[in-house]
Amino acid sequence: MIVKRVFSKKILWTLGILFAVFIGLQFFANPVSNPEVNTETVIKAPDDVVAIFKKACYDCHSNETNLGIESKIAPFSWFVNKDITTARSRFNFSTFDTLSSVAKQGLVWEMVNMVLNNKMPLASYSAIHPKAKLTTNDVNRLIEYAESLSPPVYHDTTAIRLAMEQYDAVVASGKPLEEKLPVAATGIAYIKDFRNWQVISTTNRFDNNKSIRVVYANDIAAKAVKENQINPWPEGSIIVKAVWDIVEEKNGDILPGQFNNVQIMEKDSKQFSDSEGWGFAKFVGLERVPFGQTASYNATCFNCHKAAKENGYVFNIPLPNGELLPITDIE
Amino acid sequence: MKRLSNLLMFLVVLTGCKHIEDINEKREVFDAKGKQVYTVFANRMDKTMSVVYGNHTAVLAAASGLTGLNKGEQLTIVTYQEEIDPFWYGSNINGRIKSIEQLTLKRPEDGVKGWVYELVEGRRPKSKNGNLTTNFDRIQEILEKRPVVFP
Repeated sequence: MIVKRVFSKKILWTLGILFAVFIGLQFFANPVSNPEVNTETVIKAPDDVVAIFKKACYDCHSNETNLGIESKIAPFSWFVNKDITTARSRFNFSTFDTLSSVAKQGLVWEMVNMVLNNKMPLASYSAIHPKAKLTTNDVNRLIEYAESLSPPVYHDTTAIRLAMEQYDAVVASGKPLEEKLPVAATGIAYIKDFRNWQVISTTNRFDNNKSIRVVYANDIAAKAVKENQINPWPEGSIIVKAVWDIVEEKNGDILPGQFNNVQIMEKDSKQFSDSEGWGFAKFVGLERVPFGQTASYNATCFNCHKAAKENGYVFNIPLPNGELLPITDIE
Repeated sequence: MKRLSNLLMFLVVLTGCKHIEDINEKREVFDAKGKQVYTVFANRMDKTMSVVYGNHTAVLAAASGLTGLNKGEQLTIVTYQEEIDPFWYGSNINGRIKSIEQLTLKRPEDGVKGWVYELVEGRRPKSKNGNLTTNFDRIQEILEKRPVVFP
């Protein structure tokens, strides 16, 4: 009987201390705050599209966060605050209209792909907020909206002229580029002889980034592709993507326009430990000007590449044989 | 004896399944055998994507803007079926190879003069009006494509 009373006393004391700590924590709860919303800068999109964003994204990606009381209680509030701060730094619907048209298009396509790849809304969030789950109609409407922002331009005479001028200039100059290779802010140098590497795929994009591409792999990466040893990719893998603008015709033809850029991904887990070992670089134009002023460019690239996590964070590799569609002839 | 034959049968089936699984997991890439990319194009209505490779002579000729003058220029046209990239809606990626064609520039001493067409694999792509093309039409179609510019 005495033992039981001492035990109960101990439990009460422990509970009391825990409660006191819990109350104390609330002074440091730091719940997320909502900065004032300026109607001038909020996203301008059709009402039904905004409604989709509001139900699935606004709690984290806007200054109109409206979560339950639990989000204001420490220690949960700390995690919520961290997630929302990160989400708002990626993009914020309350300040969306301050972005350039190009940036807005890019983000909308990224949203579509995050949704299609089940990366967003976060599973942990939709489990607690089932109303945030998107229906098939919602997803189709988002796709339709993204496509409406980036319509095709047929027989673009400017693109045709630029491509011809660039080709003529290269043929006329006939001189090789300087041997000194440019280096990107991420520390990755331009690779001169990638044209001799294995081509692993060709892609063309109809999103905000209309272009046609050829993707190359060095010996290590090419072997990894063929043997499907890409999760993770072996150290030393290098993938190079050559990108050209496109000339699009109404008959469906997609022809290469002027050369646009070369993009490089290098697997070096020591140097790029924050991005699953991948380092990124982009060299623009025939002058091969490094894109991105600081090494933080690596994080920007990696954020998008997270969509291809199942492919070891690489987008443009051929599908495994078992997933290829059978050959069809369009009549 | 019956048990043994059943066991053998089971092992054969198992090995066969594993073999199919291995093939399904492999990813195919075209071996251009030292040729370099000469140009690339696609057609979204036909759902095709093509990479044209050139041998050293053809690539040099393209760089000097003088395609079609040097004996031995050779172009290999690999045409794939287009697929939607499963990881990025907004991008198409090549699927299975539909055809491989080759153009070789010959001279009178070879017994022929001009570009010679050869269908190496698959079916020859249709022309834009949906008809089957002649060798001559197809050669013209390919040579009309401007070589891509590299840095």
